[in-house]
Amino acid sequence: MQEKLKKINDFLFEIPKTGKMNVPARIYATENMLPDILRDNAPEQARNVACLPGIVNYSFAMPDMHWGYGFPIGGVAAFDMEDGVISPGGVGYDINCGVRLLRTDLSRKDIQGKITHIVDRLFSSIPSGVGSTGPVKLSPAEENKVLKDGAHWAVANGYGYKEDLDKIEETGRMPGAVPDYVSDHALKRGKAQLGTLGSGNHFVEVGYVEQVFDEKIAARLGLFKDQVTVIVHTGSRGLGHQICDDFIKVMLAAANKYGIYLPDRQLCCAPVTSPEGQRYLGAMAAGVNFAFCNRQLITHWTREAFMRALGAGPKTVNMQVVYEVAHNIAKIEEHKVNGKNKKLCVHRKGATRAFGPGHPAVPESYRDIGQPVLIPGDMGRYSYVLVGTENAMRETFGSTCHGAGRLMSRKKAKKNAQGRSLFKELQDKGVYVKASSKATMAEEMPEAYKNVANVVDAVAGAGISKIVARLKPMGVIKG
Amino acid sequence: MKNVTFLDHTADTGILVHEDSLESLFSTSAKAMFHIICPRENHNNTVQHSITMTAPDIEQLMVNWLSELNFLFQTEQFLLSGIPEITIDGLSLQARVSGEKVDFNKHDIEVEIKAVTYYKLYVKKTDNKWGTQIIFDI
Repeated sequence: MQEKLKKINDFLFEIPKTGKMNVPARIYATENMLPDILRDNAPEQARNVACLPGIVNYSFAMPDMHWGYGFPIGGVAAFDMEDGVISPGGVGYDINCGVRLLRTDLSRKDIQGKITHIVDRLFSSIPSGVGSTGPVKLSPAEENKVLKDGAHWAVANGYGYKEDLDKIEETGRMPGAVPDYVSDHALKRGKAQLGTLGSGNHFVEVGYVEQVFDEKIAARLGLFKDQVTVIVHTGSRGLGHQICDDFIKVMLAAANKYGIYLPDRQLCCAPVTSPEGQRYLGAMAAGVNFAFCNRQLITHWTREAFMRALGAGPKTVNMQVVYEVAHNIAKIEEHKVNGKNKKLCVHRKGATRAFGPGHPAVPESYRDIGQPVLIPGDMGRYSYVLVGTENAMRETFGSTCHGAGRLMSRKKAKKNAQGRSLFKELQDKGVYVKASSKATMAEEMPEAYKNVANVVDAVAGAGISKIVARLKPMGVIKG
Repeated sequence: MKNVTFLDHTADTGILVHEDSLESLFSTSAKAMFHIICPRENHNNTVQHSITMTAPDIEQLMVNWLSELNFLFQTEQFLLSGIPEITIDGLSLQARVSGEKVDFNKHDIEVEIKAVTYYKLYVKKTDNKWGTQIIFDI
């Protein structure tokens, strides 16, 4: 169904409230982006989310929005704690899928001619691809600790430094995790997969700071032109997928029990304060912590791979965490609604928290510049570093985009890749890729994605983020 | 693949299956899911599993059935081969499946299915034919 959009301004469009919608839906995009957005079912999904009870202000979609299942990818929705709901489908199967940015003291020229060594080392030390298992063997008691302590468990066990933790959303440990709410199936799926990258769009990317847009903020983040950086993109693996799966069943029954109208069964939900809602929050937090731990382990092996490949010590490489964001999560946060502070349950599915300057949840060392936001693009073009703004706090519950957003279906991408050597094409562009499967390589080729520059320009134009720097890839490992 | 259409979805993938009986519908859907994971058929029957389950409705039964098979793939690297033997009585399913453990030298595993979703899901009978549409999160 073709949506009729009302233009609010050059960067914001509205699907007016009709039928069973409780609020209008709002899409952040430029006029040029609309044909691609309207081509798939994502706007209809944003409209469906607007039908859920207790939704506050709007059902938002970010400019990287694309067709998901239930919520659109790129969707943001906040629900009232009293009459609103929590929906596992609003978080997604990959609970706390997220992005970590690492900086180094190395400049591009320091690793000239060595990028293949680094990437090969990364590929051999970070388990990736379908069916890969991690080297960390967990007893049930240790797995419970991972679910409660997240990245803190990793640091306590020698994977990384205490300083890493301050630069992670929730400091790498989401409170309220209840491992007892995680099923045996989920624990079994998670046990073998801690410390693995996974497949699909997950990656570790070595790049450099190609352009700095805001010198002052970049310096505060420890970023400078031509500096070598690393991006880690992965999530909670099978553990998170299974938690979501288990709770969708719970929520289908709960929606029926509480008489909640569902325009799509994948949107099944329960009141935030109901026993079902609270149980999901406890299990979800456990999944969130598993993902924090996963990225911390991968960071540790990335540090080791760099040192081995370059024959350098930790001080020379000096790999530090700039920041880590979650882009599939639900959180209880306080926001201003009609001039009053209110506790809300904010769902971000394929969307990133982007808190503005002064917010207490932003690490103290960044508090005056706003929360860093990391937006990976496709593996051939760019990634961006942004910061959150006060305007995001006013308009989108402190939220922004999360990536480039897919343009092509996987099937179409594979068709376009036939007869081509994508490895060579990317190498000619200066990007050395190691991938576990040719199929992943084809599905993830650059042209399968929207140009992330357009996405970032739209959120910057709307004032919900500020552009700080652009990173260019040099080497990537893919699952 | 006979009686299966693979659907094009921007981020994910799906199947549309039509069969004469409900049992065949469940069986072909399972084969189609494994075709997405590993397009090259494998023929060994070295591993067997028995699956018994119930669900509140037929659509949830389909999701549970495929999710359980995906769980076996995820945790034991099980790949389905041949046709599952299935009996469905109301909302109870009993099945016996055969296959083999993934051999990375032989099997080209293309994707990991995160989950079987409820999005646009249906299992229904029209004009004496059973049909289903299933979207997978990959």
